[in-house]
Amino acid sequence: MVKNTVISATKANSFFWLGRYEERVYITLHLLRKCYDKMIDGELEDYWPIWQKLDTAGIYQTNEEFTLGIMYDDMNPSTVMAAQTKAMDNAILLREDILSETLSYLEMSLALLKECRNKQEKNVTCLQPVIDWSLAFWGSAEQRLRNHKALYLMLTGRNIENLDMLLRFDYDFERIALAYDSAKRYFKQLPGLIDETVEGELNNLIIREHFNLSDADYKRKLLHLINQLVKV
Amino acid sequence: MNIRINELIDSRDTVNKWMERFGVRFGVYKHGIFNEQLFPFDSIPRIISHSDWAYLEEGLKQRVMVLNKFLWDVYHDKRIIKDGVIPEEFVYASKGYMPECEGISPIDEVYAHIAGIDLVEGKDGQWYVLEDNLRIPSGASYPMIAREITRKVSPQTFTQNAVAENRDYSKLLSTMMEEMNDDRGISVILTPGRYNSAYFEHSYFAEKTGATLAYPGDLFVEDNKVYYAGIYKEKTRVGCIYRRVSDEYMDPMIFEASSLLGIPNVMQAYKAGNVALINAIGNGVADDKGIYYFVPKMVEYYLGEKPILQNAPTYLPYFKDDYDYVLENIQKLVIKDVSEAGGYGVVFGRDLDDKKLKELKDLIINEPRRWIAQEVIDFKDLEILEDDKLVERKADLRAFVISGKETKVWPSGLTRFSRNPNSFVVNSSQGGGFKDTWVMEG
Repeated sequence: MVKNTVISATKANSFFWLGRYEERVYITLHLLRKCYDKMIDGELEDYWPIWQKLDTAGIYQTNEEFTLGIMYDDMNPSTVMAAQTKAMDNAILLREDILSETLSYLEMSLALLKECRNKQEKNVTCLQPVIDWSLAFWGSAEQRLRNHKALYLMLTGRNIENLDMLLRFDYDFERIALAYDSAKRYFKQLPGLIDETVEGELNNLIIREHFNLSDADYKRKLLHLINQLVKV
Repeated sequence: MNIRINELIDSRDTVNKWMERFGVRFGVYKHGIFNEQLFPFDSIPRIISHSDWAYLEEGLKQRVMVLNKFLWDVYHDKRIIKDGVIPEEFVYASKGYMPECEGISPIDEVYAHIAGIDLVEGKDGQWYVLEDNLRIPSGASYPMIAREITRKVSPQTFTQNAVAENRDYSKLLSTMMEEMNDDRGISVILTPGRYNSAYFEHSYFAEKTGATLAYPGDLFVEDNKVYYAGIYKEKTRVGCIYRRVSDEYMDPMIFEASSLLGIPNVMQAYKAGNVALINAIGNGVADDKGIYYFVPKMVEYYLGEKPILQNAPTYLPYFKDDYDYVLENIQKLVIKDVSEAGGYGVVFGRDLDDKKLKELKDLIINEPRRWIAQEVIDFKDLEILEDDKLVERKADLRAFVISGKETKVWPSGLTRFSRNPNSFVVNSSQGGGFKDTWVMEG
């Protein structure tokens, strides 16, 4: 059968957002583990800043509400469950490209999240397979996706999300610059889909002399630009 | 034959777990809300002997070939109507008849490239055709993936049983699509989208055949040719569309104007012979429940042969004798509304009280053309596993016949069973489950 090498706008969108949401799942779980570690022997104020950044809807009032909510609440877009569901919503549209084997890692993750939610599991270690399967998903996708443009779109989404989260969590310049460099590797593979003006502005802002995430305007601008960069 | 039934029973949960892993689901709309659910799989297969299959294969080929001839005739010469074999009102009053298809000649005169023929096996071993599905028959993906998984989970079962391969359904499909495509461009499967009840199947077939899964908006027509639109404004010629969108939504310029699922002007491209549509538009006229009655007559008319497969004994209240018989015997018959599908519009006379029977009779009296009546076939029960116990339930078989340059019958099929002990309705949309269908090699 003649193989189609062209990606439609619908699919391009799904590849990009699949990359973003799956990375969101991974990073959120990573940050949660750090957060819970602080919560073991800390006071409320020790983990409050992390809590605030994860719970963007600001709806959890107690330690327990936060713990369960941030993992399983599908009404709050900041949770692991919401991100995994969105990743699946995009991936399911791409079965013939990423193949059933790759998709199965996300199916298993979502099924496990639902199972843990039903049991009201509070310990984040119950979701360790979600992290493992996320990595397996990326490995499988990279190996099986024959369309390189599609792969670059997905990896661009992954890197943009990584950058977005690192900025939100005030990581230092080295980490941010490294993440941005990593994302840029894919930009040149996607001519016409990257807004060059936005990229130029970012290039000027992500340099040591200007880097200052404690400046709210600077941070807001960076986040805005990062989210305007890809035109899908 | 040693089917290792205990091993299959033990494997049921593992197989269902794998089904979940691969997202084997179907969607159901209830009260306007879309829900996806797993299609319950029973690991004990339906087994069809080599000799039974040889008979079915021959009969299915004959039936589908004749239905294709009928469709050509309806949209061209209309000999069968002119010769008085089928009354014209059964053709032209059918909801599936599309006057817009008059004179259109699909490639190789094939209309029903994929036919799903629903059969039941009577307790006496006689097979009966219950329904022909020539529009968008679905369900082949389920036994296909079930076989893939069962072979993984219980390899010994297949070492010890010579079961005909069924995972090559995708090869049958892709070969037929290539033949119809005739090197004009890429082949696509057009899906209405993720919220279609059979979306799993659409995406799975795309994966297995190598066709592109196209969504509404991905395809457009220019100069009577169909193209797939790329994100860089590239356009790739499309030669064949396996469409999973109903006739009436396929072209908003000709049919339902509000349709966002179709491709504007695709009918022009189709008419010009620039794209193959699988299945052809207008096939509904041949799988109409009213036309079903005439299929054995078609076999004799077009082929001069006796029909190999039997219809269930059927009455058309349109004819005076049948009308009298149906009204007199309504309590022992199953009455079907010809305009319904998916197990809807099917009423068993024995389940109705006097008041309801009277209401049904009135409906038949007022609109005799709208109904058919059939004798209730005491069809064979199949064993299924329910709560770790073996119980017997009604089951049917949807056989799939693929027609390209040749007509081929897939040596398997979707066996659907009712989970309700008192029900003959096996449709997945009404809670039924499914089994793999084993065709034994000689």
